[in-house]
Amino acid sequence: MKAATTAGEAAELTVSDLVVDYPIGWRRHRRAVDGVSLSVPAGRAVGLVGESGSGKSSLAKAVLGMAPLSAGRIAYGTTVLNDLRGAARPQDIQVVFQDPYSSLDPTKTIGYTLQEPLRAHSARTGRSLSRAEREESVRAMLAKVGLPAETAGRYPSQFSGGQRQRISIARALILQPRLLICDEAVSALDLSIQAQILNLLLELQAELGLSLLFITHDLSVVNHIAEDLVVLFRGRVMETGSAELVYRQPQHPYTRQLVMSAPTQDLEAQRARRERREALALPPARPAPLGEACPFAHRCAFAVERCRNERPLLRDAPLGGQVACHRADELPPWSEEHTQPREASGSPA
Amino acid sequence: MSDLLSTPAEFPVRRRGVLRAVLATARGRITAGFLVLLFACCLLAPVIAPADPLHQNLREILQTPSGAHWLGTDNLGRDVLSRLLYGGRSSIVAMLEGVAAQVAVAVPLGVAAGYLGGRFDRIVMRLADIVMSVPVIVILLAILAIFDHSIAVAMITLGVLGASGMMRIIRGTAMTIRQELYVSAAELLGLSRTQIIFRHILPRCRGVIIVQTSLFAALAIGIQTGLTFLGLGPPPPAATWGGMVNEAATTLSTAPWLLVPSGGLIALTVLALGVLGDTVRDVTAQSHTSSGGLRVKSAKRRPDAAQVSVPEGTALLSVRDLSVSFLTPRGEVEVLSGVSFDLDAGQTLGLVGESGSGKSVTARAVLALLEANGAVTGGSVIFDGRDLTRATRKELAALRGTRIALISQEPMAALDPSFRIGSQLSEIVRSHTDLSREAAHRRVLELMEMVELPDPEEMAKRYPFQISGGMAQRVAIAAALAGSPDLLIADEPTTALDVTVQADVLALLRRLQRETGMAVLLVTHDWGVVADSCTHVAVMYAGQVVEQAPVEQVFGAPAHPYTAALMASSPEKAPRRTPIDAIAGAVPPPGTRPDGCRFRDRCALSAADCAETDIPLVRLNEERVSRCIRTELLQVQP
Repeated sequence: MKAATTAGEAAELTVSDLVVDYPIGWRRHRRAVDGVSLSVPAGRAVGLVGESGSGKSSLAKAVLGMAPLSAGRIAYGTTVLNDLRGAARPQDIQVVFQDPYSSLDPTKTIGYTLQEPLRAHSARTGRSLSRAEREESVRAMLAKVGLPAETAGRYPSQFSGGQRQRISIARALILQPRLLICDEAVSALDLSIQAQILNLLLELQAELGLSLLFITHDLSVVNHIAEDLVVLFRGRVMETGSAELVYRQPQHPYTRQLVMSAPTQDLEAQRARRERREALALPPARPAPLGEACPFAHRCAFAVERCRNERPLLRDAPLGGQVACHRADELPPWSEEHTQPREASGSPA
Repeated sequence: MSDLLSTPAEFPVRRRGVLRAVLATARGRITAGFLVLLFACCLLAPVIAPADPLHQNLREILQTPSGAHWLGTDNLGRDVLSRLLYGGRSSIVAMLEGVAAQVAVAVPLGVAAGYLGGRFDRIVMRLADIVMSVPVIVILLAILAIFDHSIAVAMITLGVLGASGMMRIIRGTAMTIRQELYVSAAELLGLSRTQIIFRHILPRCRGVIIVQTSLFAALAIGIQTGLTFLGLGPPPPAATWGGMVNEAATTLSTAPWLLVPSGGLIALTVLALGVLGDTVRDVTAQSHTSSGGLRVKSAKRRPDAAQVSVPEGTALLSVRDLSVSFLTPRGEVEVLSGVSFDLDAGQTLGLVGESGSGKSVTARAVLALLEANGAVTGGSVIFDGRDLTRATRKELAALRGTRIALISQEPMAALDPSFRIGSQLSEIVRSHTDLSREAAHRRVLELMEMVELPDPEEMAKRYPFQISGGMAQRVAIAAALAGSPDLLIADEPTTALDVTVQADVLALLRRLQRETGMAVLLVTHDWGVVADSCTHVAVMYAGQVVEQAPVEQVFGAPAHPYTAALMASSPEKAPRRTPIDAIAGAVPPPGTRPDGCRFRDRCALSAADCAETDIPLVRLNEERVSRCIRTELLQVQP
């Protein structure tokens, strides 16, 4: 099996009608991803946002060939990834995981960890790299992620979480992939370290022309780094569109609730969000709907009978983008005057 | 988010080999030294043995130790020491045969079953189950009968039959390692399964393999001596340890000494192998425990901290110059240095900081709930006029739950999975009051209604694993409210929750505080949570409070460069897809903090005098303090 795409030319990742089921016990399963379609065009940053149980990590695993696919199609350019495993997969897609601690083998030096993919790659392609060449690429990659060359001789236990995340990024990029999947890659980091890593990712994306699939539960992070947003809830796409539109003008009641619930570090804006949320008088928690219903119907302030009987399909939304809501046209208009005054004025402090 | 309680284990540690770590312990040195000496002597028996093990001298039978025969002679006048050395050779060879067979079967199968999983794993495990049900001794006796008393064949059989236990353990370890993200990363980078097994799985299994091998070696020695004792090994007059015990047993009444050298050496060898295995297990597991049984001398036992500080002001909780140290394998490390803040009734004080700032340790120290290797080394915690750092265990127990309550990041951890929620809450209610069973149940339902749990009657009958994380946090809050506390310490109460659930829980906490008038100490790393819920905020950095003020003032204009920098590092503060104003570097871990201002290495305003002395908290107005001598450069509104 040879990869249809070679390093250097980017392609679009397309996921169509993906279904992922995990077996639980005898002949039963839990549906983690329920008919999701999305695409990551070459060179673009797409954010996938959702809470726990939304299926965002299962979707990442499916793209990486680490989850069972029940239905659907995942393709990178012209290569269908559905049944490719291990070394048969194109190395154009790489990942940075959330946990900087379990991401690195504690018994191996950083240099070994970074050289290993190069060795495996040259063994596969028959193009052998000398030791000096490998060490040179490791040094160059460490410099690119902002670490000194001495890093190569050390063990993971000598590095902090932020440094380890830099090393994980270096490992993901060493085979010059075209698409980088970040699965909650900054969620375990402190605010100041998170800012450093986000800056690094943006810088690398611009420099290397990477596509990014950025998966997170943190709306402010994804809104910062992504150009397009996909909002997932219980395995289904609720809303998609440009990040600007989805964050500023959410057209799905769930997206609106997400935005209202995320506390912002601005007293006035946060008070407004809190009051808006309280004024909404959310319905008391009811059992989640099963089968052919809107998965959000039980927590939605706008739900009507139709929402409980008919599953809404993703369709073009009034203001652009796509939304899976029967009542998208009837929702009250959304405005949030006090959010992000600094962005309006242009320059951060 | 990992916090300070775990940092002592995260210090940069040089990785040591298992062997060197074992030899660093006294037990390891003694047992390994004994075994090496024993093996060497046995292997060199032809060279160093004082006599021929088969040479009989009927004039010198059953002697006790003497200059000519260090360990005496047996019933045929043979030198016991020489026979022990020669007999040891067969025992050691037998042990090695058994161990080699066991390792050869268990390691490949265990690693492969654990890593590959699936059908291969199921087949191997069923086979292991079958082998485990086989009566080993019966098989060994049969094998010895068939193969003409060949101990070698018996020991190899023993190794193969005994491999299933070791294999299960290695399989479990390999399964755990397979879950590690670096294995997934290696797969994605195109490494083959064989490469992953040899480079990433096997090296991590090393500790387990050594432990199991060592314990099995002890067992093999026991079995081998047992078989030779029964006369199933090489026929007499060949020297074997078991045979020697057998011979000694026949003359036990006339010459009891004869049993001591042989029996004693077998016991010592088995013991040494067992202890060695335990030592390896201890050193390979040690890296996962942070306290390691270390204790810091607390202020209560320090004579220099004897003077009692006088509570000043009327704050409900007043923390003054609180210092806390943790004892780590690298010595005593100061984690909190002179932390001070006040909290009045009805206020919510946000304790904000990054990992390593000491915010969680502060919260724990207030409750005197530090980990075993940490202690308060100075300062005071005045709660309602009493110094909690000097309170006895009994006094603290009386305060906790009734006057001061705690909710933590992991609500599930606070609930016992084997009891219904209602009965757990009821137990807490009854421990605070002398209500009857029915009255306590009514109070539980009342509490559950207070925390807005839907359908309390039904919810009370559920077990903790039947509810969601958000529900569990509500139950934990209900438990905390059971004693109607004056002070609620909430340590990252919503960090593990989804944002929509977090908003509900924060709204609940706000409502409860309004209704009860309690004070809340809210530990968090999230400025949004501070903006949402707090009236005051204390910003912590590297074990110190660097700024404390009402929230309006802090959000209006930070009075410490760290506060300003931390706020600016939020992605909210930069236009989309542009660089965020990140702070360079990282929070210095305890033990490596700079002198003078602890933030100066990362601060844009720092100058030479920032390094000269420790920076005191400077009072800027009635309600505001900052640990910075350049606040005028930050344009603080007074």
